[in-house]
Amino acid sequence: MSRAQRLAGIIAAHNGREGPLLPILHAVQAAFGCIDREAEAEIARALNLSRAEVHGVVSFYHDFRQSADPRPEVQLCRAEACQARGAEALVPAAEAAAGERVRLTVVHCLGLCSVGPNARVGDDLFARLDEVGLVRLIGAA
Amino acid sequence: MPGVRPAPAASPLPNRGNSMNSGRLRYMADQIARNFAAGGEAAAIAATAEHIRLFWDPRMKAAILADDRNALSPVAAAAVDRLAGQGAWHGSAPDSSCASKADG
Amino acid sequence: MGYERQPDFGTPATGSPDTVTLRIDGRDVTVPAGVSVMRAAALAGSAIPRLCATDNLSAFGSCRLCLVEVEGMKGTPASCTTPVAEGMVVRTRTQRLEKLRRGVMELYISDHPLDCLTCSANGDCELQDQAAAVGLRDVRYGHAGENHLGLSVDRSNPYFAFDPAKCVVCSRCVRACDEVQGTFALTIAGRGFASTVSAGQAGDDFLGSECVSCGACVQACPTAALQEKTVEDIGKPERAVVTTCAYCGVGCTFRAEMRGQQLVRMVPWKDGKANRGHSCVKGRFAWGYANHRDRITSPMIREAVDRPWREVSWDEALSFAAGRLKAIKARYGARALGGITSSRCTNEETFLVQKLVRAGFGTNNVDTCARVCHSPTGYGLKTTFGASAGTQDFDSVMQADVIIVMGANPTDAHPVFASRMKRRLRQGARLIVIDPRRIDLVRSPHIEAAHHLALQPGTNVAVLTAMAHVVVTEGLTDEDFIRERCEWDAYQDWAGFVSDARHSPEALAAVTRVPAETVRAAARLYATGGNSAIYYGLGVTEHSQGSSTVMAIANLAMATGNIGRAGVGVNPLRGQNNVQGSCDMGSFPHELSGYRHISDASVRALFEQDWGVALDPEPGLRIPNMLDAAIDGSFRAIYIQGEDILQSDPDTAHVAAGLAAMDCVIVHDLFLNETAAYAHVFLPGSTFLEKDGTFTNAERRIQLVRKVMEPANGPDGQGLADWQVTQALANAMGLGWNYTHPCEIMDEIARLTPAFAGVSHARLEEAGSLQWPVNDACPAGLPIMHAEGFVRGPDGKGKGRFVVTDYVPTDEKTGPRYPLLLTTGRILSQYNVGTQTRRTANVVWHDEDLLEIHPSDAENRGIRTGDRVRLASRKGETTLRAEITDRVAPGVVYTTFHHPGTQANVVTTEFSDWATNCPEYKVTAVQVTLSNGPTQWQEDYAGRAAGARRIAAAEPGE
Repeated sequence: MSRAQRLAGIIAAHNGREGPLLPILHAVQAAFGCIDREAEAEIARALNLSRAEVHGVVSFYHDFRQSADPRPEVQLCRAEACQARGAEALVPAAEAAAGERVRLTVVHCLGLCSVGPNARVGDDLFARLDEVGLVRLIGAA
Repeated sequence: MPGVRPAPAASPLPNRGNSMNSGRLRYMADQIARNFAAGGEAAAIAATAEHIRLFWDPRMKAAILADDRNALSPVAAAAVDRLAGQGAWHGSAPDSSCASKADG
Repeated sequence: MGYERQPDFGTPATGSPDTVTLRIDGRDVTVPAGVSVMRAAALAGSAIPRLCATDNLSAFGSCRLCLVEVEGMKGTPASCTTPVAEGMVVRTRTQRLEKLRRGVMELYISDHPLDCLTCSANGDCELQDQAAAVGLRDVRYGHAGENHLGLSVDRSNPYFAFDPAKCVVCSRCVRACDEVQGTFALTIAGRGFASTVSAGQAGDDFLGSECVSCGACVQACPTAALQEKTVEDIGKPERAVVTTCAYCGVGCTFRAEMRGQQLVRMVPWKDGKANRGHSCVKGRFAWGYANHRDRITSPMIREAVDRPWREVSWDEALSFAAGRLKAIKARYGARALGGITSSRCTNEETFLVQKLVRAGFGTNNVDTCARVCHSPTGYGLKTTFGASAGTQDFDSVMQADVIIVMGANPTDAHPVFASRMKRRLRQGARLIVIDPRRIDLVRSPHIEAAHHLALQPGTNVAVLTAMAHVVVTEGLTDEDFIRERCEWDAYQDWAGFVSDARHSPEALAAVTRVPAETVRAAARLYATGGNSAIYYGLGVTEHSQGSSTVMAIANLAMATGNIGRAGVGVNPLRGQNNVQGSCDMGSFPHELSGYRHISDASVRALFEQDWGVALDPEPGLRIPNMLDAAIDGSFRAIYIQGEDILQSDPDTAHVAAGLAAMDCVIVHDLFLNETAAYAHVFLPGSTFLEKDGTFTNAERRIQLVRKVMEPANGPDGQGLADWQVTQALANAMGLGWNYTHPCEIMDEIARLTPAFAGVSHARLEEAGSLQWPVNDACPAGLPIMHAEGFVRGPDGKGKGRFVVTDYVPTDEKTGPRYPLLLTTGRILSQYNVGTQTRRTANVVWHDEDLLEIHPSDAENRGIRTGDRVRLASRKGETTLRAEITDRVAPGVVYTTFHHPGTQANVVTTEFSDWATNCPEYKVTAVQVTLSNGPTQWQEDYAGRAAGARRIAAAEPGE
């Protein structure tokens, strides 16, 4: 199936719902790793929105990328509760371990505030991390 | 060359034949008659005659009255007959000198 | 008036008849229910500081400047999003609020350039005003932190620039584009501190985006972030004069903002009843043609059209013209002369032209461009309703539940009205589009037509008859309305006719190519959906059955009772700024002003008495017939004011032959247009900025045009407005006119025209505008017509008349040689034949006409987008570039006619509407093939046109 067909399939799957835009964007992001210019335009056309509107939504959420990044991603929480539990001190080692190979992104709050520092890889959550654990996690990503 | 005013027959542009006396007026009269047809023949004749009376300028009226009515559709021909009988003009008779200069 | 911005009450009015009383800063204030506290305070004269609020946009609540304290409410709510309540107690000025506001402003200014003194918005900047209003004294954050200064400026749009450094992300521009214009071209990209205005997707600039350059964002912007380039170049305006736009039939009112005699910018006037503070790219920005180098400011004459022009004085030009006219009249009679009034000049000016023709030349050979556009509206609505005009005002669309748009493309041709219609559609009204082409209204962001009847060109009457069949046979008529308000017998005839099985949607589907179930659904929706309104344009009138289609539309409206109140009606979208007016003024060869037939002796007597001359009782020639008569030799002189028949009329070869055959062609215009190639006399005209007068828009709304600068066609202060030019010509012929101001001409019009009896410039100054009829029966004008009776009858209490309209297929048939059908239309950025807009920066959007062709037709011919193709009909051929699109159905091609080089009218035919001779532009049988260059005709034409524009250099030593 071509990219265009896959995109059309995603749009068709969600178009009937109330508020289809975000479900479609999430699904496109998951399928292609990004929502690029053509996809924005095609989604706009299908939902009868303007390109600007779709772009506004895509650019607002940091989960949506304009171009794919095939690298594995590790999300590290650096919000207040995790900071209080020492997450900041882990950052230099984490960045070193990630290097260019792994994309290390900052998120604010994974909802595990009492058991931080916390991280997320894909849909898996990791709590009570220390430097060793975090570096191992990054290495395995 | 533009602006060299030709006598109609010598026009540098293709002769479109759209003079007052040619098929154009007949076409217009037939077209009017066709569009009034739905009301029935009598109504169409009256309406066509009235339309020509109200909207055609004197030389056009003179031309259609002088034209061969057999070339028109039956309703249009009858309408022109009616105009000829009841009078196509609103005020004084048309300027006859103008009408004669209008013929081809 | 000095330069002041129009008052801005912060949030929109609600129009509620109920009121609420509340207490603001110790004073009781009574306001309409539902308005915001901000608006209430502004109405009471005490403005609350604000940045993101402006009263043509819904409240947004983002800038946090307008905070107030409300007794009983926690914290400090934003006054823009808080509606008033009875007995509410509000404080707008407390220490706490002042501190909060200063804090907010401090944050704004910490990320804003501090170059006020050299900024183009200096003295006209809401950020400056609000910083002053909140008493900002210092910015404790300093200016060395992260900021948006130094970002590059987007200058892609020819008329305005976007400087992100000065943007405060108030989102007014985005909201204006959404709510007012309805294009949704802008957004805020990013989040938090990174938020920035984006004209579309990443990498889009304003020119490349969906932006249509209407200027609503520029108007909304409180700082210099979005600013007109003319303000950057020229400076802040010093005064503003309200006047009316000279482009389309919407008739937007603008403030012409001036510095001395120089126009700085045109800003929509919020109190304009037609546009309500909105505009389109043309009226807002494309006024530069007034100063274009092509503008002719000196009278010119020549003995023959192959000679170069000679610049002469007014006296010499006028006596040359008068001399020729008199000689022709003496030799050939009065009926050899004629004139064309401009539908773009004022009512007063067109009245004088028809007066010159009737009283001066002595003939009724006067016509106007309505001949080629809405003359069928005149005939059709007069016959059915009694008045040759639309029945509603534009505001009426906001109460429509179902809207039919037939043969019109308002987002391109009447953009400001289309924006209002789209606003109503977004509120939930449903839309039916009847058009061979998928116009933008069929589907564009947030708008989708419930039904698109993509009919075969030329089958309008068949489609309407099929819809009528559904309405009558399914029992959807409003019988009470018909019995009370219409002639019953005529209705019975009509109902019987349309009920016949051969007029069912199923029977007619083969002819119309519209599926029967679509016709049935559309008819049912129109008849039962609530208030149903029909808006139509030249796709209805420019056909061999144009008048019949108009009558069919009127029949449908009467049958369903959709006449005589707001939200319904029959609305012709008149094209030109004053085509309605020029028709009202008696520009037609068979009618005097107010649509009274020339044969009526009592009407004629009224004019004869006032003018002191006998009038010809016979109808005169229409434009196409003038050309026929010219070729024949009996029509030899013409005075053409503001019209370019060689480019806009069909069958170019025929028009050229007619003009070439005349002895005296007088062109009165701003530029040497295409018609001027065949002229002997050129009288330079004046723009709408250079004259006083009135225009009448598609709503029958008469609005003032005010002079803001001296006409350029004479040295300082001695130029002539167009009415003065016509008067001068009349006097050169010995008529002895002595009008000193257009208001005197309007007084004469009022004297002689019952529908205008109450109209005068003084009354218009007082009322702002008036919709005719304005007389004793309707002293304040009449927004909605036929509310109690159709004006067909005496005292305006007559009955509407159903007229049977049988479908008569056009004689223009496709065949093996010409298998496709060509239809034509307009585009937003260019106006009509482009005389004005081609001489502005609008060419950046549309610098050539393109032929739209369906992919399957293109494929069969080996054509790709961008290829030059030959477009040929039995009349002639031309070449232009192709654009492949599925907007048109297979078998249909489409182009615009804005550029003379395209010569689109070389291919259009001599066929026309049976009742009015309105040309059948919309149906031409053509063939399209690949081409490798312009046709011989196009090359010859370009050469001739250039040659005809030669102006002899002035002789030395004079």
